[in-house]
Amino acid sequence: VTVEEQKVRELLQQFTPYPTTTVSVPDVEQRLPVRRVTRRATTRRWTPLIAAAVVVALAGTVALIAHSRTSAPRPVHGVSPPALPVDLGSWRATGVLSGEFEELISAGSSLLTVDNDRLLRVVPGHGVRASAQLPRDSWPSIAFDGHNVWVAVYLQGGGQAVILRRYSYPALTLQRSVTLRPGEPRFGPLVLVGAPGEILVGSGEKVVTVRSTDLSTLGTLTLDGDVNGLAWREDGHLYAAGPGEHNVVEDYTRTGPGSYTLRRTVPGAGPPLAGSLVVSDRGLWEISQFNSYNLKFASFADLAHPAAVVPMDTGDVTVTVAGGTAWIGGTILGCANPDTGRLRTPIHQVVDHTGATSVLGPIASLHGQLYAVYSQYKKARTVQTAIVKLQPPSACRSK
Amino acid sequence: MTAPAGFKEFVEECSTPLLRAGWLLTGDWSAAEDLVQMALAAAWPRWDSLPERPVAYAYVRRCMMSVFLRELRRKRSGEIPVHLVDSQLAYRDADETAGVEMRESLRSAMASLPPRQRAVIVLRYFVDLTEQDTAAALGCSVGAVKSHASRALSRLRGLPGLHESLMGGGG
Repeated sequence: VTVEEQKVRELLQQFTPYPTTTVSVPDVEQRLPVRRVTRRATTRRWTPLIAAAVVVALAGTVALIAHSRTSAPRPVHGVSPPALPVDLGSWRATGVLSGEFEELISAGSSLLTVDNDRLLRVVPGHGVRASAQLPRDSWPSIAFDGHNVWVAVYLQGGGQAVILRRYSYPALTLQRSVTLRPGEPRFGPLVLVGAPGEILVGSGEKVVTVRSTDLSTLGTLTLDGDVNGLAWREDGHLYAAGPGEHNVVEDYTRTGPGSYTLRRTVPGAGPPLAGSLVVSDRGLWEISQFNSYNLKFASFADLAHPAAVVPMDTGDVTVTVAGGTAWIGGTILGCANPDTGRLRTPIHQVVDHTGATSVLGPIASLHGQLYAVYSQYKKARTVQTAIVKLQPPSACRSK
Repeated sequence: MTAPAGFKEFVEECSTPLLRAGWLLTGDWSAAEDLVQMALAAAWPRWDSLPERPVAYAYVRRCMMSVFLRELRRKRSGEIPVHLVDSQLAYRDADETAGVEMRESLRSAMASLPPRQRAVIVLRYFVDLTEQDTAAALGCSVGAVKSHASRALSRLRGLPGLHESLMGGGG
């Protein structure tokens, strides 16, 4: 043990506060999963009947599974509006699919999401049409380049490697995979589509550019700190937000395949949150935190001076630019002009009547229709999640 | 449901150290309570197969780390707790003002670490586990623990609030 390690040990022991409460057995008991009580058969004469019933049930289940795998869509579960215990104001939501979803992007005529470590292609109204298994607990991030689906995962027990995988679309067949070691991500690796034929993977302090054909590494960009957000602009700008306590957005210009030059550093008013950078045609949206949370929009011409700042009570916010609107989701709902930052409707606070926290995001747009992952958390646990169809107020579509 | 024999005593004995570890991981008492309760709830059904106290403690720690990393992933909206104000704490150090400042520095420093590094710091230097036991609790290799610890220490070294304490005369 070095002197420094010993000092860290003393520091932690001395300055970690003591709780004013303790955990009791009844507290723990409330956390136990509810178990179904099954009654045992009392006489042997029921055994053949039970066995027959089991055989029939199994046959039915097998037939059902076979049927669902072939043509029939996965049943849409009851996440209809009455089952959403939230006040959405003038917004409306209807259930599409239940599951434990984390990501949501649109791809072609489908939605791509992750449910329990499975990559899913969902066609609204038809259910899950293709799926692929992902490594367990690997913090997946997904992107679609118009031809293939890209998934970056972080293998926590595997030597801190980020794996980039390419899946075919629409079948989601694994085609190629490459192991990268860019550094440990704060909340998971970030993957996005960059210049034509290039995929960008951000993790830790590095952004790795990978050629989409053979997955070879074209270049590695080292940032000033951990990357929390990445955004690519088609004219060759790469924006990286993060660097933890440095509170900056770095603006890079692409100078060649996998090669970037730092153009400017834009000071921020607080640490950007993970996944917090989104570009529109004319500017950059950023979610940051300094005492309170702020959703900011700044034009590319003047990134240092935001044209619009929306103060928020929460960091659970996502922004999606699609169809001429910036859609603001999370524990709030709103919409804005994506190129000026001007709000088109007042921000609506999603109020949960159960005492839990409800989040509507990320949001994806497919054929002009909005979809969102609805998640409900209670005491740090996920109560339910579902994909819902969102109907925004008509003012959101105005110019 | 009746708690298995010895479980109540275990909860009473381990609650405080587990909560303190939970606070270092999450920076928040209610989240720390959630973590500890969920870890203990995972141990309850298996209690009879955890006969010795160190084994049970190791199991609960492992559950706690697993829950911590899993739930972070679920809520990866990226909220980073900084500049938090917590008025409900009891301080045991003599110089309360300095203690508060140091505690806030510690909380910010821990929050600035990626989750795995945070977990390694807590297990290695707060719970005082060996590298092997830390690796077992996190389900990773000893090499990964060393690497996480080294990076975390390097990062903590650069933070203004902790710099003097680590490089100079100590806490």
